[in-house]
Amino acid sequence: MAPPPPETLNLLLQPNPLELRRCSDWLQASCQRLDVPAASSGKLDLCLNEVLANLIDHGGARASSCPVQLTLERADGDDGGLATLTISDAGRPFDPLSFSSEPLPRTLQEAEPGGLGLLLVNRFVDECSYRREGDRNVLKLGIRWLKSP
Amino acid sequence: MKLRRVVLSGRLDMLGMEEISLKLTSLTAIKPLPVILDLRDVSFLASIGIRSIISSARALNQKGGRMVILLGGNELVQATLESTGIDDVIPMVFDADQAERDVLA
Repeated sequence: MAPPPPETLNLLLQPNPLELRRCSDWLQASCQRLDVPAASSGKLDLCLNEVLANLIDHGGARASSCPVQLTLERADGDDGGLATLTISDAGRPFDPLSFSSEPLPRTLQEAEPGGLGLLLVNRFVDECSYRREGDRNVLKLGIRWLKSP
Repeated sequence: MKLRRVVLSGRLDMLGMEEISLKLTSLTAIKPLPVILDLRDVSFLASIGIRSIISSARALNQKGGRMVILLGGNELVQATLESTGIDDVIPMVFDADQAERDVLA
């Protein structure tokens, strides 16, 4: 018999700063419901916050008037689990995977206050894919964890 | 020697930083004092919070002061700071006594 399809949870939100906390509350509650470990859900929460903050700041007028759709799903393998968050928005075409990060700073003067959000996303996620679907950006972020012995 | 302890808590995201950004700058970067920035009770540190910490540490540095970040066992905030390389440019310690020794050294 085929394994059951992964459970998915969805949320629609308006991309504005006041929605960020509701969105984080939804993600935390959804991760709890899907038994995603706290360390993984914390990282996913941070990545989601950075992607939405980037959209709010740089997504353009259309982004702010169209809802963002979030989907969270969990899949299990032999060694552990994978939580995948899909973020679909109507902002300007933007592939975060094309972002090339600067070398890490060696002194306080070298530390650039900008560009840290996407750097964090790139460092925290284990899987990441981007596609343009019609007039929407569709970004998938995956975080893996190992099964406890 | 005098030192200043600045204790932050809760979520340092867009809304959180809107509330405390100016206060953080005025507490950390106005006088050239050694500053312990206590992040033990910060549950979430977004890039906007890191930006503010970098700016404050730079301003303090230019005035001749020095900042040490106190983390305790805050693993998510530690991972966030390490991922951006900030741990290499602003000293991070895990214990309050060590923070005091380091910032006064």
